[in-house]
Amino acid sequence: MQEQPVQCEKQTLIFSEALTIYQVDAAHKIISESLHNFKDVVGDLTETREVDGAGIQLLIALNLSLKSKGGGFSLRGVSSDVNAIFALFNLPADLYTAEAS
Amino acid sequence: MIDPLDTFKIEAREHLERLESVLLELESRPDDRELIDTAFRAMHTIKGAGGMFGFHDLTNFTHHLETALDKVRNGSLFINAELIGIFLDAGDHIGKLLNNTQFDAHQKITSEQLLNRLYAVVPHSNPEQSEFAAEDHAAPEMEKLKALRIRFKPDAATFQNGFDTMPILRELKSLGDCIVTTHMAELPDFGQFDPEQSYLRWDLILATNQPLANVEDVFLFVAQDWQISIEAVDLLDSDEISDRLGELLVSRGILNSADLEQALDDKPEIGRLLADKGLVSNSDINAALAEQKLTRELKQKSSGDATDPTIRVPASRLDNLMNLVGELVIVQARLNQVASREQNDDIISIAEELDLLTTQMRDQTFSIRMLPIGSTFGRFRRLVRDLSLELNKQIQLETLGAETELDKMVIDKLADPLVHLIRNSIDHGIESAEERLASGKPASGKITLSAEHANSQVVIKIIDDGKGLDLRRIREKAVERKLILADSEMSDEDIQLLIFEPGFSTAAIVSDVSGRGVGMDVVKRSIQELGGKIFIHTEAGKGTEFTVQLPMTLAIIEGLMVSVGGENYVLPLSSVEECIELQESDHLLHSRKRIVEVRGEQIPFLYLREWFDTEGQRPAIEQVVVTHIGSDRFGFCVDEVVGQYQTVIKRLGKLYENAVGYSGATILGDGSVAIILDPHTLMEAAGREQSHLRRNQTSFMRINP
Repeated sequence: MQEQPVQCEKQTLIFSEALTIYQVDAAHKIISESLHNFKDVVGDLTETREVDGAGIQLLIALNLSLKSKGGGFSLRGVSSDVNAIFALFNLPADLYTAEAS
Repeated sequence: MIDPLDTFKIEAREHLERLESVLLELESRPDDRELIDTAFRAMHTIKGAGGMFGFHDLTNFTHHLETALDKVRNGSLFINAELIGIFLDAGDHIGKLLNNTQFDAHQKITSEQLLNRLYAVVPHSNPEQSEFAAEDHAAPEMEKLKALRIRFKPDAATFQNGFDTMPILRELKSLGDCIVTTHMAELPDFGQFDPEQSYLRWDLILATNQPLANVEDVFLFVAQDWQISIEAVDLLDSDEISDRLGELLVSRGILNSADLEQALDDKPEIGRLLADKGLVSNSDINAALAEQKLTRELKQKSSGDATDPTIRVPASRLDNLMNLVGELVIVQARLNQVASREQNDDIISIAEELDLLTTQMRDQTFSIRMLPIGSTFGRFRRLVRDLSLELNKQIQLETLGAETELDKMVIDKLADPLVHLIRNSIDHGIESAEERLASGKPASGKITLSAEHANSQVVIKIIDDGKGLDLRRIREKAVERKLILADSEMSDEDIQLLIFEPGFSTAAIVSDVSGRGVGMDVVKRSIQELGGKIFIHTEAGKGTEFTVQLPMTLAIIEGLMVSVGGENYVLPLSSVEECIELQESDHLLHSRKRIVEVRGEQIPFLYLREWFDTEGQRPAIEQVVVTHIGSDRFGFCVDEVVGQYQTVIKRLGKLYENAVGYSGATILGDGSVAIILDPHTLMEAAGREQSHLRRNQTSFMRINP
């Protein structure tokens, strides 16, 4: 059975091992269905090892959307590989601020 | 015109000098990336240029050295004293190959020996494969650093088509310094967002020395579908306005000039203002700011690196130019005299204007010939390194004032005397490590070579912390050589000066280092020929200091013309302090006392009228020209001070080479000759005559001009 790309758990989104063009559509659907319940969201990337441009774009869109509604978005468990991708895109720090653990 | 082959050889030698200099620096700073890069570039350029002229043997040889330096550069090989020694010897060998580009059998053997030494140190290389089998093609040439403004927007279906922006960004970043701005303004709300479509766009400013084609190749597979723009940013544009934020946004096509001007009328910070007005997005402002930051850094760097375009001309042409300027100065003086005599306003006006131009032309011509003395320091570092190894002494050379400028001709002629003085310090001055330790000194000796400008002169010092001159031994030797009588009464200073006597040598064993038939007398004469002087100060057990004073140029000086009994003389203006009127009542005519009191200070002076046995009536009021000679002040009493005079120095010739007190002559506007006086030696000669210490009659010979 295929692994669910994302699970909703309170206000934390736990992302799976990969967040690429192959996962973003399913992830988008799950998040969109529950987004109206959330204001502040934590994205947990502890298990995430692979991210591509589409995955980054999804995280950015989620972040901007929550912030435009007065909410907040932060990340947790960002691996150094994923962090290097954020650095590559030179994203503003508030877009991928890691939550203090 | 200089032959291209000659140009190659001249430039290759300059690269070799640079290579030697950085290799010696690397001994103390082996991790300095800039030095390693410079050494690599020097070798790379010699190799590439040699290949262009078809010198394949030279190219092959340098290829191995370049490869080894590349290993040092990429960290797979660490530079050490052995490797530096090999590179230095290889540099010497390349110098010889440049003299004989036919590469004879002897040179081939030397090349093989050097490469064997190299490959004994360089790991993972197979000399059998690599010797004389270098690739013919040189490494791709890097271009000058440039800034590129790269903007791209992937097509919406790019992810679905299997493309991604990340590899593109990674590749662009690998080409140089890159600042990325990701524009997110076109992202729809998460609800309306199609995650498989691409909405983002990017702005990059890339500082790179890669060819433009390499940058364009990054987009090779997406060029058809993506919106891509690559523009070069003009780094040569020195207009301050052009890189201001508002102008950058206009040049990026994000904003039009009218909107910018309207917004600027409100005066607050332009970025915030434009964003608040909704004219541009924050990410556009960030991208423009990134470009501003990077291009300003590059402009600053390139202006720091920038050197005016240069042309190479034979030194003889410069000498000719200098001679012509000298003649022009003389004609100018003549014109000034005529203008003054005729009292014609038009002629006076033209003469004044021409005088200004002549002075500017003289100064410009001088400046063309001026070179930093540091250009010769490299060979002294090498000398100290090689000789200390040969003599098994530990010696450090400290150089100060490398930027001090001196006439090229003086620098060229000065090199040999300085080499000899440094050789002497190494051979006779600095003790062996054991001797030094036994006398409580550090094992490593130190030689300081310094240069500085002082009173329109260049002062060069060679200071060692060795054992100092052995005055007792010098005296004994001088008696042995019949230079002085055994019972001669001599001060320590006079004994020191004996080392400059022809043929004098105190070394118990004439070594291969300083005993090469060139004595200190030749050093002194060479410096005197340059219009300079040499002084010694020594202290037993502490070291010796040689001070060489040189005029900055050998051609033209600013002088003060004076007259005595109708004859004109010139004193160097740089040493003149003031002129004092001397009335008959100020001194006792028949007194031998030659002292004038100036503001409480008693200054000795010399009557030039007496010195030159000038006949005729003394004027009622004479002038004492007070000069400074080091810390001393000394006056010259003359009939009249004529005024400031641009003095073209002409040598007096062999007949007068032993005449002390004269540094040359000059031709005046009316064609007559004026002697240029040397205040320092005149003062010394007058002082010695006064105290009846005439040891060398010819040294104090007077001449009547």
